[in-house]
Amino acid sequence: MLQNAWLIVWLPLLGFFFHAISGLIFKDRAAQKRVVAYIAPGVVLAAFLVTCAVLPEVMALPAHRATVPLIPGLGTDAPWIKMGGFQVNFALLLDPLSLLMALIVTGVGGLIHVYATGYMAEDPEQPRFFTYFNLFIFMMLLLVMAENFLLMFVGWEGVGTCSYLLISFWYTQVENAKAGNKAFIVNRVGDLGFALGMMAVWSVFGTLSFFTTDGRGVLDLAAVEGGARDVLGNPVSAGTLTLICMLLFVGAMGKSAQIPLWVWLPDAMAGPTPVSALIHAATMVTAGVVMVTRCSWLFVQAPDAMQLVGWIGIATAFMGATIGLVQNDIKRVLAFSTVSQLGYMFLACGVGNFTAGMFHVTTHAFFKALLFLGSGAVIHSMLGEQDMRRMGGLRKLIPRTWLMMFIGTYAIAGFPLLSGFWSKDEILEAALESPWGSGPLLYGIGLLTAFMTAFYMNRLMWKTFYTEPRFVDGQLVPHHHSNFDAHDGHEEHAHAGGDEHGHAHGSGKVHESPPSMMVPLYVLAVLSVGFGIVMAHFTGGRFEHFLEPSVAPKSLYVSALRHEEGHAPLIPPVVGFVISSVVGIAGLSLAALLYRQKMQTGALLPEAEKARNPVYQFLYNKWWWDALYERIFLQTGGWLADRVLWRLVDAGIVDGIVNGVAGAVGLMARIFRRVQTGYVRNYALVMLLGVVILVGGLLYQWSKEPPLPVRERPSAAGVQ
Amino acid sequence: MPQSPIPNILSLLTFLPLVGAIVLLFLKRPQDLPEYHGGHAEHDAPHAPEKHPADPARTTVNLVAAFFAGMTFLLSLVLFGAFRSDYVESLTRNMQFLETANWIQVGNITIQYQMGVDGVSVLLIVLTTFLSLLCVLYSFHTRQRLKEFMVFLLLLETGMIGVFCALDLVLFYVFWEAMLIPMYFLIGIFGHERRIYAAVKFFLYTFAGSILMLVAIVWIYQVAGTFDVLSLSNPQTPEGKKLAEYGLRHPQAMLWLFAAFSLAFMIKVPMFPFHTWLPDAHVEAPTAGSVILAGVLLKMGTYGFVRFCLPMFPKQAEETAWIFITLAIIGIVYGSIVAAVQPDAKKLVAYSSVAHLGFVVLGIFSFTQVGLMGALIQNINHGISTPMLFFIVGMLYERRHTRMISEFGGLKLVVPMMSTMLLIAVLSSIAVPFFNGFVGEFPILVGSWISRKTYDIGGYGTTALAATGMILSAVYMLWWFQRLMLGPISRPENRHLPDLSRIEWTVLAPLAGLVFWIGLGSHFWTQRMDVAVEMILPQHMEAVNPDLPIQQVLDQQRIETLKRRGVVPMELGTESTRRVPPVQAPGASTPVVPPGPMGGSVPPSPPFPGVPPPAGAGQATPPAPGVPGGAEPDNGAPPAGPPSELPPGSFRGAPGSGAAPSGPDTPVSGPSSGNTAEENR
Repeated sequence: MLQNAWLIVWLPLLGFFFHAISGLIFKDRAAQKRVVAYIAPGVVLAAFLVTCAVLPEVMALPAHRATVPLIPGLGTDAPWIKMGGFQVNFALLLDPLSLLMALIVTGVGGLIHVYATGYMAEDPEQPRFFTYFNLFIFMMLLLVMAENFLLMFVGWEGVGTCSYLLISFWYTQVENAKAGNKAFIVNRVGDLGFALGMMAVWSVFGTLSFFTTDGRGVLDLAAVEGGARDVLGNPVSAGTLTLICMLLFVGAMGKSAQIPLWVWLPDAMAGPTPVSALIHAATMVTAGVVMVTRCSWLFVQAPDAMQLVGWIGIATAFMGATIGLVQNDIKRVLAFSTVSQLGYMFLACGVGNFTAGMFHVTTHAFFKALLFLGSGAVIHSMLGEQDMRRMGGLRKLIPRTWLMMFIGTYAIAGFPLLSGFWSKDEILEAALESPWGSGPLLYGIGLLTAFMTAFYMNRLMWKTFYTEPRFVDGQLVPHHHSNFDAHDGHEEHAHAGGDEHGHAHGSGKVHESPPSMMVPLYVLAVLSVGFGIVMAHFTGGRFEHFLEPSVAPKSLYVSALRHEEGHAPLIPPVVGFVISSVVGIAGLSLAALLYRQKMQTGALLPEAEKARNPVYQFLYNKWWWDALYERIFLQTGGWLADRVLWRLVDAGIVDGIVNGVAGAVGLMARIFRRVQTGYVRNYALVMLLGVVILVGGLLYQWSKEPPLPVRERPSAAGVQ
Repeated sequence: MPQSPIPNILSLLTFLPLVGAIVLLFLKRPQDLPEYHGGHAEHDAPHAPEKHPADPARTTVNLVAAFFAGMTFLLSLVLFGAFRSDYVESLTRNMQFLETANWIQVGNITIQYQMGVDGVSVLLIVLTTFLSLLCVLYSFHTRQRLKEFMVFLLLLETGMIGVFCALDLVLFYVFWEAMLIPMYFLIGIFGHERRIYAAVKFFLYTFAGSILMLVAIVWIYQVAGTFDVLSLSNPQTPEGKKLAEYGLRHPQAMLWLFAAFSLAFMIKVPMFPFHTWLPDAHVEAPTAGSVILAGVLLKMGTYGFVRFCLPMFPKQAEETAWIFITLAIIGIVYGSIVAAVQPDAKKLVAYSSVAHLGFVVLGIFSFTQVGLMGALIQNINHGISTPMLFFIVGMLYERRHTRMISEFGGLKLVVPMMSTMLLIAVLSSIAVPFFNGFVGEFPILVGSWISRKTYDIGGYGTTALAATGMILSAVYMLWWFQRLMLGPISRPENRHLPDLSRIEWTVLAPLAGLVFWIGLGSHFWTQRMDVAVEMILPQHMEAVNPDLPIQQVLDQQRIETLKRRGVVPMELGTESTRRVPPVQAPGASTPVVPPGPMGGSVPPSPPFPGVPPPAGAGQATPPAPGVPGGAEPDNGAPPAGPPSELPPGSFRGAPGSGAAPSGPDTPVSGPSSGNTAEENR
């Protein structure tokens, strides 16, 4: 099976090709949609099965690592780019890290595909949706399973492109298209860092492969005993490594929505909800963490970069949580929660505990996918309504969806023994033991963030499910999301769907979602509840052990910082457990206590109060980040580009000079044209004048010195 | 030299379109179709182009033009197929299908008719014939003066192919200027409102540059006594030696010569600040004209740098590299920013060309092989993605008779297929990986990163600044795409536009296919240029930053490659030749080794990148006579990666050992290894 591991990435790719041309195969749109709805999840789940089959084989290898061809029939050295000594091959790397991510991507991704068959069933462009969706899975798999930096970058930009396509999937609403642009462009800023980082890596290590059979891969060289070696075998300076790591981390900031490049993620919620769940919560946005973990051998030797990672992580975690406290759009709350949780993951990486980061990636994939899909089910039930201010009382109307959201909320809030509890606790403990100091501070902010997380999640639950309904059931206005509904944007609410719409929606009643959407929720709910306790408790560090071959050991980092090892932890683990539990439960309880008193409105502050409260405005407007960027880049930059660079410099000066030269020639021509009067007498006069001047000049010259003999002509080539 | 299946294939290729043009002249002039009344499209019924009574003369003209363009394209494919990617004649000669004859002889002045191609030109020729064919097809429905249009297109094709084949300075100059004339008429007769202004500006601007080049050509003849490009670019021939020595004696004059050539090419590229003819010409030209202009004409500038400036004036090029790099980066950033704010869809594409060509020039003047290779493939890439953009803008113009971006919006709903094609072109232009733009842009930036030339300007910040083009291209391209295709349909006229017609599919689909072929299988294309790049930028000219560990690795690889090609790396080890091309004739020890292993027994290049040649094919080749150890036969796609190509012993201070092994394979390190060449022989 190992040699057939290419199937993992090829299956979704084939699905993509199929959907892309399905319009040519099927004349009947309904039949096309039906077939696509089977193929799309089918290929992803098949890829999941292949991954499961490959996993034990890789783990049985002595190095727990294998390089396999990406293109079947070719070797692992089939070149993609080979130019002037720069070579990159088509190959896949199978090791615990890549397989773990492949399992998450195909497993959670497969479930979300199943869910999407229900969610997108009524969209006439469902085949296009699954075309992008399968392509995304392919790119994501390429990202996590790439054998070298550049192929990882292919996946990296590829998922960005799919994200762009899917955010602007409902492109007739211009905000969606703009959100897609924003996501792509902000990500590109990060990609620039990644690209430069790769160049630096290549110029130092002479290759972009992570591992090679002859031990000359980047990570092979980085993991050499006694510090990283460059391609010539000389030690690499800490400064170089820091530069490399910081550049790479810029890439991670973009993709994983960290300060200051996080602004695209909340807007990315414009895409259909399965997109938010798959791309903007469970998989793509964790790519930064995966990359940093993949490069852990480099990062641990660059303490400054590690510190940057840690601080950015905790700052983003805190900021995301504060903003999440006040959002009204159910998906936006979850988006900021994602930003915040990603911050936790980077905090774990920054303090050197990469396995904790990856553990949180895994559990987060489960519960955040659960939450997003659950919120999608809520939105579906509410006929497209996303504003929590117009929800409430849904617990009785959609009890199964409520149960799923309930489990997700308690998992992310760190309720004891659920998945999120274990991973978050591990990160907080690692932060307390931070090798570069500031441990208690990191721990404190981390706890505060955990508290806020629990609070805003339960706030979401109360606003949506428990408080009195703020809508009239049976009179819901469907918010149709389809490019063929609202033709001009003005008629957004017009029900122009035609024959493909409106079976359940006609009534305007809240309804439970179809089984294709509920079954994935059940599976994810089970994982959100049980995965953490199984991995962290019952099997005692199994997860950490599993990832060991892919991740730099913490000891290396600690020794790089010259800390002595083996000191006693600041607080015993049991106390840490208790503190984490108390904080989580406290956050949940506070929300419950406060909202219990506002059952009617479902809002803690009246609207008038909100407008006046500067703290509220600060948080609601996302710490003014967007406004700042808009002012700098869109307004000032746009003005500079249009008025100054184009109209003044380009059209005015640069082209002005060109036209000026031409104009000067023309002007001179117009002047001298006057001379050509056509009268012989004028010409004769000019000739006479010329003769007089010439002779006069000569006479004057000769009066001073005698005339010289004819001079030698200078040679043509003799110009000095 | 590899035998072409057709004798004198290059001449045939060059003049076949000319024959076509002449044949067309004798055909009956088709009836002109009524011109659109200009004005605003509100008055035009928004529907597909109306049907006109069949005009047999029209069909004949179209078919004849398509026949000749098609035959030329097929012939160029024959050339491409017969081209041997591993052919090396000597250290400095690798031209194939050479044709030489005396052309003009006045007194003792001889102007040769000399043609030949290497990997750089062969790809450009195929691109030229390909785009010309597409343009002919696309222009079938030209409303007025169809026959003249086709005649000019075919004449243009002859000029363009000639430029890429000519290996004599005068012949080159003739083609270079000849091609201006049909282009001038294409813009001036068939263009839009301000066509006369644009045509005259285009003509005068490029002409002003090339007239200085003519002076330089004559001057060079005075110095070296030949117009032969091959001799002039090789300092080991008597003529080349004369030129090089002249450069040493009169560095100032040589700099002027270099400047004259460079100016002509800079205007053609066009580099900032000589770019302002481009937006005007592009916008005013008819669609086929814009396509040729962007797809081929601009490439002549970069081709000129590679074919003339670098080989003939290596020292001057190196000394002034910082100017070119600076202007290239200004072009990238400035072109992108100005592109972003254009209200005219076509002008935006035009400015994007300034940015893209900036990347190409950056790659060339990074003085690294990887950068140069990236530049050459980016040249081709730009010749695919930008024509695609221009074709689509032209299609929009035909439907709506406006180019203003604000007139469009939400078209994806109406013309989904066109929108998909445009998206492919846009993503290719943005250089998303697996689209073709990426395999050009990224190696260019890699070359720039490791180049000492760029590093000396502003450290790694120079490359970082150039790389912001990655972000800026996404900004202007995606915003453009959004305003054209996404959002609600803002204008009622746009509600019923027809999607791609059959002929439009025919034009766009092959281009889209090439986008992915190059993006995914770049090795198939670049391996044909390997030898040419090694010749144009040999090791002693490469300027890899010596502070970077990669420098020694690359040096080592160059020597290995030369050995593998059966050419002894002559004097590569001496310090004196590391930066200055060898001026002294090497006397008895000519580096020219008979191309023993290349005698025709080498298997053809693999059909797809990475497909290893059949086992045993390589071993069948006998070892090269006179090359110790038997040079490895080059099979076009050596399967080993760069690190593993290095013998393990050649790493100085390998991990654990710390000792520097010495031997003939030791990387070039100083004058002490000056006898490497002797030892190798």
